[in-house]
Amino acid sequence: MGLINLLENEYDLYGVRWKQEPHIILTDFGEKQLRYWTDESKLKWHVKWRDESSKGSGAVPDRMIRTRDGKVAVFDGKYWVTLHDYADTPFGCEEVEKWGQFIGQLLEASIHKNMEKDLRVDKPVFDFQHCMEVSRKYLEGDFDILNKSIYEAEKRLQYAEALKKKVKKSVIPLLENEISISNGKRIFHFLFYQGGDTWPVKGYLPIRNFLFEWLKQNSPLSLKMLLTEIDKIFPLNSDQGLLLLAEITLPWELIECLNQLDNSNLEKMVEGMNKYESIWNANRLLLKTVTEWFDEKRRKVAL
Amino acid sequence: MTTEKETLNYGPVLFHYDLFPEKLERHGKVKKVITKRGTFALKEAEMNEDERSWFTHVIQRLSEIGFHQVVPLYPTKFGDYTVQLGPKTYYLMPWFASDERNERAKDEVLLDHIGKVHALTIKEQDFSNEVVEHSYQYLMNRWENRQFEMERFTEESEQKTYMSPFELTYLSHFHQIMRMTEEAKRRLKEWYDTCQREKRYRSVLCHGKVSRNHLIFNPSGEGHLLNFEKAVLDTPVRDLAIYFRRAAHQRDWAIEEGKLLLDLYEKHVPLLNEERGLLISYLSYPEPVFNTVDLYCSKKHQYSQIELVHRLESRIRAMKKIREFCDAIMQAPPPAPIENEPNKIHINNEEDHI
Repeated sequence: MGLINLLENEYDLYGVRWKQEPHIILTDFGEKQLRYWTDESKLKWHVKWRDESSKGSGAVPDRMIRTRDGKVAVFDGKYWVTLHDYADTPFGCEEVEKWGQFIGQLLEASIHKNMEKDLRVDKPVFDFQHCMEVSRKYLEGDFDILNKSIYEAEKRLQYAEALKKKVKKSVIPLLENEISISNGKRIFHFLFYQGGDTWPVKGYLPIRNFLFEWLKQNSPLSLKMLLTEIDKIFPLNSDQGLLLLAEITLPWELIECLNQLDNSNLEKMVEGMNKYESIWNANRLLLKTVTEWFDEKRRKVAL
Repeated sequence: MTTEKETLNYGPVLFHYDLFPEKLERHGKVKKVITKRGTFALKEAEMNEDERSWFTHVIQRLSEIGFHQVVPLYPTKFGDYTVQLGPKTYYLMPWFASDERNERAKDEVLLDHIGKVHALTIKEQDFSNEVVEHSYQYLMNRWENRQFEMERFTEESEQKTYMSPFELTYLSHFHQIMRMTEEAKRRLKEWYDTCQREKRYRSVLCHGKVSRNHLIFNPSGEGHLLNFEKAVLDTPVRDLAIYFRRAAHQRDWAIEEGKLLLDLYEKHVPLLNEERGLLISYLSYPEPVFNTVDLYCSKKHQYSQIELVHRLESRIRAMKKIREFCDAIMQAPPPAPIENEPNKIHINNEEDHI
């Protein structure tokens, strides 16, 4: 029995055909997406974060549609196959409140629901020594931005470590590796979030990347509004706020900046330095905006 | 009828069922959803997470224990039985058109079904002095506080040189209302003493909002209960008191009819003496009259005096009917139980208690 027949039988669907083999199908309930899984523990984690983060949020993640027997997936002999809704109209960034609710609910679910059991978890580590080794070959050029940024990166690293030390025992969120604005689609007037299928990551790096992406597409004021909306669902005034701030303070962008450089000739080196400066400044703006938001929030509490 | 905008507003809910409404009709808190895939009833409710999971558990458990006269819930495509959107909870059911041919038999079917639910879920609880003491003290305190508020209202009214028509009407029935209050408290004390002496009390799954509106007939004429949002494990008397108190407020309700309906119910669950006393206690307490006084005090500018007086008189008339009904059911011997009494099955798992 082919996959199409299997899906028709297990999900009570009719007239199923491929729109984009092997990922998108057309059914009598509209377009649906297929995902293929080889690891059951990873599948279970993806089911759980989608189910949990949908609770109470105006946003809807692409949860696994259940089979007629209530199962989350069907086995086609090689893979576990899951069926999801599919949409392609971008949600955009205008409705900050809905994004904030979704990210807040996602974080809430990621720390309160025991999601880590028997699961391979990636924990990204910032390697400053590696950055120093990479930078060494460019330091002879005595570029001002390079010298300043490495000095600043070291300070930020120390500050991030100091922030982390303030947090005694706190649950660290487990999140999808990539959380992106482009995954937000529109169905009716709600935010439909199409998740991925990668191994989960421990820590706030995916949120840092999301906030950075937000700032690239929007103003610092909009980013502050987003943080305010997240804070309503997932309070950032406690240890979790410190962990987020520490992650944003860590100079993750340094390696990306260094990778832009190419000293094979002067022209390429100058072009690389310009890109380096641009990435470095964009990340500085992220850190500045987030720090300002935390300061403003602290002042409001103090009043 | 609803607008296109309203149809869109329900889109996020109906998305969970893969339904696209062609038309929505408003019927109170229920929306009639007409789609290419059929006609459905979408109920809007306010429930927290615990209430939602209990509600779903109750509906599923009723089916498991063999009570199928419940309007079923459709699962979403994600396998949930409710959809939460902001502060609201929604659930989807089949749409049953109202059938006026069955309207007259509605009360009988309702009490019969409630009796069946109670019989299937009845459980003699392990005696807990703490639970009984707490229930008794809580209710007695609440009643005494309410009584005190009403006495204060009486004193304030009496001090006025010119009383309003509402106050006059209330004062002319005040002693009778207080007698009913004392009777309710006396019966409650008797129930408490009997529980202490007999060391027993029974609980059932109570519907929690027994009303004619919560029974509908399917196309083949079979009555189905709906709206178990307030379902709770409690004494069977809870549902009976809710039903009879509401019924007595209908103009054409007769005591004989009430007795017949109680007999019908008792064919499934014959009441123990202390439960009968507790039913009389619940019914005797003149809460509906007190509520009208509250309404007078808080919203007297929204209603005319004549409206408020009519409301008060209607409540007092109903309380008189209830008084007579209580006398009648106190004297009547309980009917014999039906021969094939169903097996007792509990709503919770065996190890669960209240």
